[in-house]
Amino acid sequence: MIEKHLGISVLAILILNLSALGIAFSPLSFLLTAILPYVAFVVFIVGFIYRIVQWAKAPVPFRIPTTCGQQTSLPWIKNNPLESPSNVWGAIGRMAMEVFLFRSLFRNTDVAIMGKRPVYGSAKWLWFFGLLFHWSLLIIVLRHLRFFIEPIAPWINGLSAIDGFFEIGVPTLYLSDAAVLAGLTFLFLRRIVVPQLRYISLVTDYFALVLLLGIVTTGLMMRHFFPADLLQVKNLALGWVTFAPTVPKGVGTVIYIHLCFVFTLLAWFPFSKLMHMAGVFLSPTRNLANDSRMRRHLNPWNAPVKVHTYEEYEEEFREKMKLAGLPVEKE
Amino acid sequence: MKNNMKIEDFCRPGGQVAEIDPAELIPLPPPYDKMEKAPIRKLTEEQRKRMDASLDGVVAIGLAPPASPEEEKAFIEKFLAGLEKLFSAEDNWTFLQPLTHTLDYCVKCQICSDACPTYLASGRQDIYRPTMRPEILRRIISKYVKKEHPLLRKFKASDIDLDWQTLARLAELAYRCTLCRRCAQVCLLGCDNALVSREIRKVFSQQMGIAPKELHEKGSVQQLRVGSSTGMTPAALKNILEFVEEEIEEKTGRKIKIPVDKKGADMLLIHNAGEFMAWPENLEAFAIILDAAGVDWTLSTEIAGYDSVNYGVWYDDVQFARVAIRQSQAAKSLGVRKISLGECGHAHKAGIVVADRILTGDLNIPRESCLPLLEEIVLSGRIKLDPSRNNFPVTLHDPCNMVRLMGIVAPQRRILKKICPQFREMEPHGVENYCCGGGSGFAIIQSTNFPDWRSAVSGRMKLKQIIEAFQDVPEPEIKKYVCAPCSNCKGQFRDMFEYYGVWEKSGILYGGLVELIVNAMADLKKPFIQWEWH
Repeated sequence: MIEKHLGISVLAILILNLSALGIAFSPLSFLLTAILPYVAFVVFIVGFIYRIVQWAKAPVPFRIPTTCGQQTSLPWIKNNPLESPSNVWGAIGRMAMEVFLFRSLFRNTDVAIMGKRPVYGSAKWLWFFGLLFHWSLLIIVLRHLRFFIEPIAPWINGLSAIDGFFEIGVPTLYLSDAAVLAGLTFLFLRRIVVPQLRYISLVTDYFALVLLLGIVTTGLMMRHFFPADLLQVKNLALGWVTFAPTVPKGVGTVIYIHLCFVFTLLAWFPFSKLMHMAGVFLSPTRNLANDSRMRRHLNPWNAPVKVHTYEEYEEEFREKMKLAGLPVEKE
Repeated sequence: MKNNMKIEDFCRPGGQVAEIDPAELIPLPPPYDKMEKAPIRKLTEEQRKRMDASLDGVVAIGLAPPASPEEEKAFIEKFLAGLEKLFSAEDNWTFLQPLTHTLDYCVKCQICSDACPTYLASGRQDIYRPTMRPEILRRIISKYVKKEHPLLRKFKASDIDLDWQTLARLAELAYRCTLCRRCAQVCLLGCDNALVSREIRKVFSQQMGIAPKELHEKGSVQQLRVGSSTGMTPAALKNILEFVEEEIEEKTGRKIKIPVDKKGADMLLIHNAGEFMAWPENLEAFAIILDAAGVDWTLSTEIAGYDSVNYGVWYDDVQFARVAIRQSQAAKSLGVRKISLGECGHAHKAGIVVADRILTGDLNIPRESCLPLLEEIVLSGRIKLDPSRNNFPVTLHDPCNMVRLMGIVAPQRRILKKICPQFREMEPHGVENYCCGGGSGFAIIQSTNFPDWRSAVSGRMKLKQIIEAFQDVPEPEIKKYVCAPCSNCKGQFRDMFEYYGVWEKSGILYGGLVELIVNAMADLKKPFIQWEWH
């Protein structure tokens, strides 16, 4: 099963790869440099917004947070404002811990059966590499803004400088590049090596990882092995932003593969599990304050129910009820 | 990993998807490591013909196979109609949002599996993974609700074929999760896989009328008809209360008149009706404490007004609303200032959290847990307590609904630390506790071999925790106490302790929190806890 699922995703990546190459060496290369960027971007934005609107439209009738600590109660009982928030600030704090530090993932324990007894171990590896991957991806995306902004904003230069602080090699190896590769490799190997995880993983699970690995590898190749003409790349990117796409010259072939992967990711993103990026903020088990015992949560969407009381009912049908021999309260 | 099960197997006709292997179950500490009997009784041939047991050989619902292909088709169509309702905001305004979030972007990191006591205890049976139900549901939706293109489904490897067998297994599988929400707690994205089990049950119950009879016919339906889920009528209640008053006098020498239907009382106390039948000492203890502390309280004799259970919270929104409204009406007719819920976990969730939007206008009477009130009484020194009377090992079980769902963690601990010198925590505890194994109604489901399953599998982690909490005093001669302030958990402990012979082998008694408080009352002549009634 694993061979099949992993195989399909690698195959999909290869097809993308080949089509990117095919396009690059054909007169159709403007497809990749002028048409697809807009298509992918529009699909990404529209799909992203659509998904969020769908989620936001679903009603949240009552508080169902998962609490991880003592909630606000009597004044002398010490509550835990971040693990069981009782107001919006606590919920924001909790969400920040969740998004920036992956608090819940940190909470996990691993259970191994050693000899005859279960041993609780730490499951912090996933937390560490997961965090490493997400943070470095963020930094990489931010660094790429330098292609889209002219003049380059000082904070982007600052970020790049810090990222390349150790000045290993020429051109300087960015720490985030190494980190993202390490993170992705861990996540990928984890799916393949852990048997319980391997057999339950589906094509889409592998596809996300292989695609991201593809983007990172092609990016690294362009920086360290097959240098692309950065000026041309910048012109290309600025062309998109100014709605005057140009056909670049002398940027090499790797960039076509890189771009093709990125556009695939953008277009696929809104329909995939990667939407957790937006969803985590809307997740009712995390973003609600645990104040069921303090506040009344009125239902904002229900129209007032028209009630037909028994008195009114009897008023209406009294004569008929009498005829049918039914008891009535008022004569 | 010999149990590797594929979702394709789930749709395989005939046979059993999973087989529980006694050797694979998580090991228990001695003397429970050697059990003579098979952990789960096998069904007889006759039972197997009558009831579907093709999931794991265990029966909680036991659907009868369809008589004809037409019947099967109608069955599937009915299910799909229910499924469609599950995803419309009009029909499912209660749980739509968390449901769609969980199904939409779970990244399948599978980290929640190791948080699930049933999955772990079963020796990692894939079928019990918290992610299994959502994945099956996701595939059904992809094919039959969203009607995605076959090629797309092929790419996502999300194909599934619905037949009666698959649905029968899904219905059973929805009753292999105790809704303890430990998986939701550790999810890095806040997905609530336990809720998916509950929503599957809802489709089966609300659309198809399929639910374990202990929850439905003999549960909430009976509660609305005669007054309580145990079948106890208001007349029987009065009899029992007389008996309880006599018992109190016999045990403590105090003459206490239990207030019934007292208009304008400060607080209406609603117990789980199970207490009246199985654990009257819990009622007695409540009456003694509230009387000694001078609380202005009352019980009700109205339909559902003396039974805090609301089984709908586990399987059916409609039944839920009906019961919640009856309970609040009982309080309203008495004109009480607030409702206090006794030692019952799911009643806390149902009454305090979920009922919030159902009770409108003057039916919205404040509802509180009994635990902060008890804490206030014990810690304020309003009653005289002598901790040396509780000088035996005590550990605390945290009912999931009170602790993980609502965050009531500290009050019960402050009480125990004050009145039990030998109090010790089990590991893990508090919000990270393990479910007793009887959650979401399992404790009352007595169908064929299901009680074996919940003692051997879903309750296994809990038993292990309890035994380990007392590992410094394993001798059965040393009497020990597991404090479980929840009627459902006590029901599970009763069955599980019996199943393993825990009293004989380890001398462990289970009981509520109030019993311990009364046992510590300084001016009682004899101890309140009667160990011989284990």
